[in-house]
Amino acid sequence: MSSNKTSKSMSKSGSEVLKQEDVVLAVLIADSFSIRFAPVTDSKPKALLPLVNRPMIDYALESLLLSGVQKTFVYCVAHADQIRQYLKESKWMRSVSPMSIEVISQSPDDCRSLGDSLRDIDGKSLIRGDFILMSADVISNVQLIPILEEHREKRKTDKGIVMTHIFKKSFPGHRSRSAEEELVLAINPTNGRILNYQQTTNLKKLSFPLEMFKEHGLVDLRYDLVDTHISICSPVVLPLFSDNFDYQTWGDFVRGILINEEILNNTIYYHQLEGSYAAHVSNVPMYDAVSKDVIQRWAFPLVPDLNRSETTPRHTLSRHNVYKQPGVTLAKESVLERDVAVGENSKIGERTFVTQSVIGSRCTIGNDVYINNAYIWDDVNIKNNCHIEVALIADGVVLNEGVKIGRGCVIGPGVVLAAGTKIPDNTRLMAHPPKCDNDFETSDEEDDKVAKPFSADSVAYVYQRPVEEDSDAESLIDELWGLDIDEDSESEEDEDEDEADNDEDEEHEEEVDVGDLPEDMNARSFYNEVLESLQRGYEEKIKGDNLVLEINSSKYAYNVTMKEVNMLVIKAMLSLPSVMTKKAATGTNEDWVALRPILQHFLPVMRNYLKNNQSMLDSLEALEEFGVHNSHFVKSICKVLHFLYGEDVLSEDAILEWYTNPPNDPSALKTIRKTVEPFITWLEEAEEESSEESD
Amino acid sequence: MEYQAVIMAAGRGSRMTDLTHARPKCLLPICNRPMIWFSLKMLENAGFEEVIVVIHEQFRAEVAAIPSKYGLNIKLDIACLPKNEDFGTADSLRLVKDRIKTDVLVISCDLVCDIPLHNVFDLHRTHQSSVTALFSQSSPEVMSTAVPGPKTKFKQERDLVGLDLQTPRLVFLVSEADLTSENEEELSIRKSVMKHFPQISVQGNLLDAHLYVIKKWVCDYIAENRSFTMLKGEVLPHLVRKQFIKIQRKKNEKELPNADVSVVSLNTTNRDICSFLVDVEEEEKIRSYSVWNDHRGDLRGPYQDHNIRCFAYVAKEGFCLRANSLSNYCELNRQVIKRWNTMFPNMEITPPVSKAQVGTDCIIGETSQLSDKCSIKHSVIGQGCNIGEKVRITNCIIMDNVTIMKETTLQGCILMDNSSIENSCDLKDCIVGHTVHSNCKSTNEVLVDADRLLEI
Repeated sequence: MSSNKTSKSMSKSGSEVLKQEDVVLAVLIADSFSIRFAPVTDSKPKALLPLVNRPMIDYALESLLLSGVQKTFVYCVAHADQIRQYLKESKWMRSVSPMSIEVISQSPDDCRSLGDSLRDIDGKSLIRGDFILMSADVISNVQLIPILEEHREKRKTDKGIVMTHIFKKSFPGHRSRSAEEELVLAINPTNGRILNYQQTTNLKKLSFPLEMFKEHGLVDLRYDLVDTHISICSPVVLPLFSDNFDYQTWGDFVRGILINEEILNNTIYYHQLEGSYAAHVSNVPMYDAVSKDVIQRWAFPLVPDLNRSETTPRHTLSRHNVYKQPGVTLAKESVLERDVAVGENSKIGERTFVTQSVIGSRCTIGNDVYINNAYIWDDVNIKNNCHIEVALIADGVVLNEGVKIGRGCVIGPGVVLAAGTKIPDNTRLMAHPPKCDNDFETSDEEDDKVAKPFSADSVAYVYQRPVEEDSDAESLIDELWGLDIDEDSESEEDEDEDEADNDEDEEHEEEVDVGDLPEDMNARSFYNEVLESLQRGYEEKIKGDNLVLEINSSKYAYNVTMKEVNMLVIKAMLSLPSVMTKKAATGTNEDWVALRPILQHFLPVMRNYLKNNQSMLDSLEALEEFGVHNSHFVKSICKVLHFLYGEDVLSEDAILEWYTNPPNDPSALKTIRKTVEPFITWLEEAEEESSEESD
Repeated sequence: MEYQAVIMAAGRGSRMTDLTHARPKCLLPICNRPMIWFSLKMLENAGFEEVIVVIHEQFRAEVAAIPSKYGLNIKLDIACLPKNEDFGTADSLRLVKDRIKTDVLVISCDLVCDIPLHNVFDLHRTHQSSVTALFSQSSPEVMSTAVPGPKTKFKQERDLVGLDLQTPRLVFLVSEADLTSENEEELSIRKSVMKHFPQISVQGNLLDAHLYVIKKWVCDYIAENRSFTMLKGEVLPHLVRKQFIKIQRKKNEKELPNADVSVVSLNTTNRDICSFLVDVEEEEKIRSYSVWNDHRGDLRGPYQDHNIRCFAYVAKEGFCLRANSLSNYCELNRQVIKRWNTMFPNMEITPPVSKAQVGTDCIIGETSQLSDKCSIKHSVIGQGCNIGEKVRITNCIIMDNVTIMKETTLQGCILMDNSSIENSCDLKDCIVGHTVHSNCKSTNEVLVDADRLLEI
């Protein structure tokens, strides 16, 4: 950390490169290669988006500076000129700056991922020593030097160490967890090696290779970690990316390293932060969470009132985390309740209520406006009586009187909304119609729909998220911003219930009363197994023949009689709709609607079992019993009979014979027999007719 | 009386059949004391005054005599299984269900362990655990010992035990054998489980001591649910899984009387597990009034609001080994000799007076006779044995009334009751059950009665 390297700046004379080994180096990737913030990022790079009235890249550079980094390469892709321009004018490029910065830019066509950028850096051979890799949308107060030293220390025992990645502990349900970046790590607790890495966002079940547990006697599975997007890399990381063109993201890299571990002997370690703050602004909900963290001073010293930038003045802090820059005008009876930051020269009108929000510079906010959980950037003009809750409003937006913005909206720069407009939840608006030549938006149909402005007097077009391949779930999650937090817990409970249900299914079915199940355990088990087979068979559309085989093998396993087989198979089919939906029959037409496709699917199975008169009688008996025990089902019985008769599963003779025999359960006389009466008479008539015809 | 104790001593010793055809497993000697003595002693040390012992009826008298023979004060309440019938541990528990009035400690007779039991009970009490199991971080040296008898590829049974890092909750329990037999390459865990327990430590090198403290209601549940036969293999994994279910008990109570009474719900053999839980409401109330929580990081109540809870006590130190296989049985003999004085202070063993060379880590029955010129190392010799001149015994387990003639060398052997070895034999890693004639040389063989061989 000698002082001679801190001076000078962009020029990289040969001698300086030689000494690189001793300099603490960082690579800041000033692009997230995602469109999570679209349409806002169409005109402005993500790194320059303001977070509590300060561009995000400022926080990242500040974080690096605070942790003792001496030289930083800023790698820009999208809107590189803007970033270059910003940095040129900022304090970072001054000769007195203790950290030298070099900006590298690449056109977006040549660089579409983190992998591409690292390959490019490798090609330029700028880096020879260990370096810190960080994304420009990371806010942290971590001291990186000790972790870097820890990384070097580990190299003494493990030559193959390529990376120490930094994670922060954050339990499920915490706001700093990004739903998109949920992960599970398997680590070796004794040395901190990462053994397995999985992204879990779309998974319900997590699988881990058994081999891993065998090899390492002790493995910790961690679901409570959050990726900070900061890693300490050995120089070998760059050639590794160059060698594998399929490494696009960090996740690809880690998976690749772990898979090839045995061949290449490369290892990745994890570092868990204790007591310091780091977060990655990956999407809009995370932007919300990190802004709150900054306002509530979790990221100290990265707080609004210790802003070291010279271009933007400091905020002053008052009670309840209310920050104000100079020149803020508050009209009478306006309230800044708590966790609010207001930028310079902004005016807030009478009786306007602001809470848990950020308002940028030079904004004008009218009277009786309600702002809750909103992020309003610079030069925004909000007229009287607007209502904004959980929204992001970009630079230069004009909201005329009485505009109501739904939860989770993102209003792009320059949008003008006419008086009284109501924006539905989770809408993204932009000021210009979508461009056709844009790479991300290709579908012509969409353009036709989108090209119309949102409303007549507004300058606003609905932004449609381009359909990305295999990421529909991700975008869904992104849109969850602003919805009630209960969402998470609810879905979780559903899962729990599923689990409980599944558990119960394993043993016995209690929810659907299928009637006279034999007390004999064998038949019970047989029934459960048939039910399971049928359910799976229906869900996976297994062929009838295979199901018959399965049922037959169950029959032999539990030694049940043919009569029982006939009856139980029918009962199982009838109870399938309620088993699958976990709802009891309602007694309405819906029952039949649900049942029909199932019976249709199982026709081959039924034909296999119901071959003679006796088996048909058995099945009819089963049908009746099922009806006796499920009073709601009675209404569908006639339809079932008609359907099975129509499909030639049940013969006329069998149905008539069943009808003439007295029912086992006297109560059936009144209900079931009565409901099927019309069908029987129709059947009898039809028979007469046909016999007449044949005569 | 807070806890009762049950010793499961009806095990067949299926992994050491060469030894168990003469004596039942629970009576095999470890350092000249029947195996079950160690369990009884451990319970006595833990303060139990009475214990229920489940054995096969033909051994009743022998087992009943043990306390008086070896100076134990504990009272035995013996429950017998019919001769030659195999009962699993859960079956055995079902057999003695009427004698169980409280929470119960269930141990297997083959456990030798000096981990203080009060730690396990404390854990059980503190958390009102449904089942608490004892695990020990098994000592690695056990794995690598020569085993007498034919060479077999012996695999130590391992479990994958998932423990919550914050609380000693058992999150999952799978035996490796199960996983490999089903040809699964992967272990899968539900994400909802990970949400409740975001930090799981998966340990593959723990030794399950087969020592469980079980709540009374669980006993009732096992007693009713006849499909269970084994505690370890079936009941425990089942309960561990059931921890995560939602209790729908209240709903059921309201609905049942009105709903159509059906055969299914009346079927008592399959009563829902939740209906066995007693005092849940009271416990829930206590939990809701208390500010205490067992975990950090989310806003759920203590124990994640689970009413069924399984805990594991993991002993970091202390000796714990089960004689459930031949190699473990031999290892136990060696280990217990070494630790005898620390494990059982005030019970010094007095070797018989002789001029023979006897190493320090040997135990020799008082009534055995050693001739002057024999040398004995790392071995146990039972009662009434007669050892001739120039006999060299290393690493052997010799049971009662064994005769060894002169100039014989024995290494790593097990000699069963009443066997005898004639002059000048050289046996290595053998199991001997009858007379071995002069000048016999064998390695890794089972030398048992000819008539028994015919039986097979």
